[in-house]
Amino acid sequence: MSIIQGKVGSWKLCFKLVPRGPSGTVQVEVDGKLIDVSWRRDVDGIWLELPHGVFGFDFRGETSDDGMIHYDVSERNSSRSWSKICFMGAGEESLAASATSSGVKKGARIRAQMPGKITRVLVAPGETVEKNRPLFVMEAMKMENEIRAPQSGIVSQLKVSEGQAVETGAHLCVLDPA
Amino acid sequence: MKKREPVLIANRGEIAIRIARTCKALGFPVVAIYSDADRFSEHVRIADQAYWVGGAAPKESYLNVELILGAARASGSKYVHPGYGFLSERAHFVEACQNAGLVFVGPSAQSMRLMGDKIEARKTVDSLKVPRVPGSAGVVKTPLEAQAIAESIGYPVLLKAAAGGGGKGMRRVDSSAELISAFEGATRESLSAFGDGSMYVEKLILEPHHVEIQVFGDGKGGAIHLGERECSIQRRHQKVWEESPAPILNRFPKTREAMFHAAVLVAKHVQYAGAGTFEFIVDGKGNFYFLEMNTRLQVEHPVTEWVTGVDLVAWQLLLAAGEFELPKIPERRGSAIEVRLYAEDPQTFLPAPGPLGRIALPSGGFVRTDTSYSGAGEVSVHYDPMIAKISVWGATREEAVARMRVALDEARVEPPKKGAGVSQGSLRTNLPFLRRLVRNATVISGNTTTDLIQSHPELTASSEELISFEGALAAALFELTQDAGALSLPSSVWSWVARKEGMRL
Repeated sequence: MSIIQGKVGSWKLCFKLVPRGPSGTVQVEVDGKLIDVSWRRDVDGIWLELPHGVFGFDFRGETSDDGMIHYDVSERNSSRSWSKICFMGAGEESLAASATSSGVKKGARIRAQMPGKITRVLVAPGETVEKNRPLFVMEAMKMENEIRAPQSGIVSQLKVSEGQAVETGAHLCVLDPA
Repeated sequence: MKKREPVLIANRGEIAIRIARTCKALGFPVVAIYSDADRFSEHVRIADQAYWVGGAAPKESYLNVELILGAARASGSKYVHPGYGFLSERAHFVEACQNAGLVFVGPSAQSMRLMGDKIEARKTVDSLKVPRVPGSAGVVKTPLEAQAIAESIGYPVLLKAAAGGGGKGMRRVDSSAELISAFEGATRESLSAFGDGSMYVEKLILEPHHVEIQVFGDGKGGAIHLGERECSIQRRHQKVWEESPAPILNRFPKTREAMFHAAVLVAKHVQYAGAGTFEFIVDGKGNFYFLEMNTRLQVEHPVTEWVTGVDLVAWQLLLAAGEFELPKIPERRGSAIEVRLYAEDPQTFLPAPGPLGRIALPSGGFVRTDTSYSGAGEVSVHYDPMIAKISVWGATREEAVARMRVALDEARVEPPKKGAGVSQGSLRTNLPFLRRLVRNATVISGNTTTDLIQSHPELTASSEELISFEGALAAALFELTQDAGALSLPSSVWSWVARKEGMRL
């Protein structure tokens, strides 16, 4: 009987004991097969010892707007990585999914990704824009960068004007669904 | 150790530290300058004396000639080493140093004017019959003029700021329709970055390799070369991977000799003093064209130091001190590669500076790291977002690439973390990109052209959609064994959901 189980991506994992502590060994059932896995945590993430080899992963968490922790996972000694993975308890998944869809209904907030100066505003409120259409030209680190629409939509809540200096994360405008 | 007079280093960051190390080895006392943002920076800590020269913005401090010369006077400095960037290629600064009775470590103002200004440099190389890319004869002031020239040489063309460098104020234009807005954008960028909006237009070379020749002149008409560097791997027109020897020139050894000859010819002609670099573009058939000369030490000079065994800064300082005889051309051994670790988004290459939590840079045999970061601190928004240069040497290119792979896997640059390993702040680095780069088949083969990044979207693509079995297991164990993990209840049924954030620009 499994003590603790769940799903990561497409992998269904059942642990036979609750893993605890910085290192240890546990049995995990996957696709009906039992595998012994040893783990060892370190400052950047975790090492795994599996029957077919040793694998290390770095974890970097970031708190997103919705308060959830999103992890970037990168495999050590490899260039493989997976981003924006977040962990939810049972029942929270459907909750998060509905939060996401209502988020889209409210519109997509466009933010400044770094401090700089808005040199040009290329759209006006009420304008319909296609995906990838340049919205703003921003000067930062002595370079001109275009900020493009991540999706199509209607421009609203335009918060900046030409010549304005902005900080990281500053709200520039919102794209409402067309 | 011989006692020498102090050197004021008119720079900051890794290059100030690199210059200071050689100064100390040769017995030159080190005078640092610093802005408000650099009060506690590493380059200040290691100096014998340090002088404040103004506010955080470069215009107020590291470009502030009056305060820098004041610091030189107050410290009793005899020499001024400009490093790269900031005042390193300003002829008026060279003259200001001379007028203040200081020795500028670099070329004369006159040879800087002849070669540092792109348009003057074109006239000089034309007179010596060094080939260059077809383009406008001089400065182009209006978009219409640029359009006429572009029509005559054929699209695609490149717009470049006359006073520019490092890709700032540079635009590729593929058709007549795009030209006017591109011209305006490039002019505006150049005006704000360099205070000069002059442009010139040139033909874009297809299958281009960026190859540069390191030269060293004695200022009396003697000059030698120190081999080449290939810097074809660039993002946003800025170099990110530099190596020597150039793989493209291994295919065209006659081109290599012709380029050495051309670079030394020009350096002798302008009586060049000190370290300088001739940048060329080499096409897929081995034709080469002069692009520009950098009248200073280059960011990527460690590559040349690895293969020649020459300390270029020592040569510069000894030349300035009148203690230098030009030796014969140094023998070059093995293969060296340098990569630039930047605080930037690994997919868009937009700068992403911010607070720094932990930094662990590679070391070990045949590995060199040039950096000004040693621990928690901040990558400042005021300056170039380069965090470190990592360079390696190998007896063969294959060995050097393998060593670079290990070095990059060792490196960690993390923003500060609060509990549960959650990062704080905006710092991101191009390390994931560099790790892909060093494993890319084209990079490993050595046949890289300057459009490598555009033609290999997998280098900058979002990470794989489906997590591997090992990754999934690691994620589960990481979360479950975390002290403040989301699941402290052992009986929970749990799941992971990979969700994309929609709003990342």
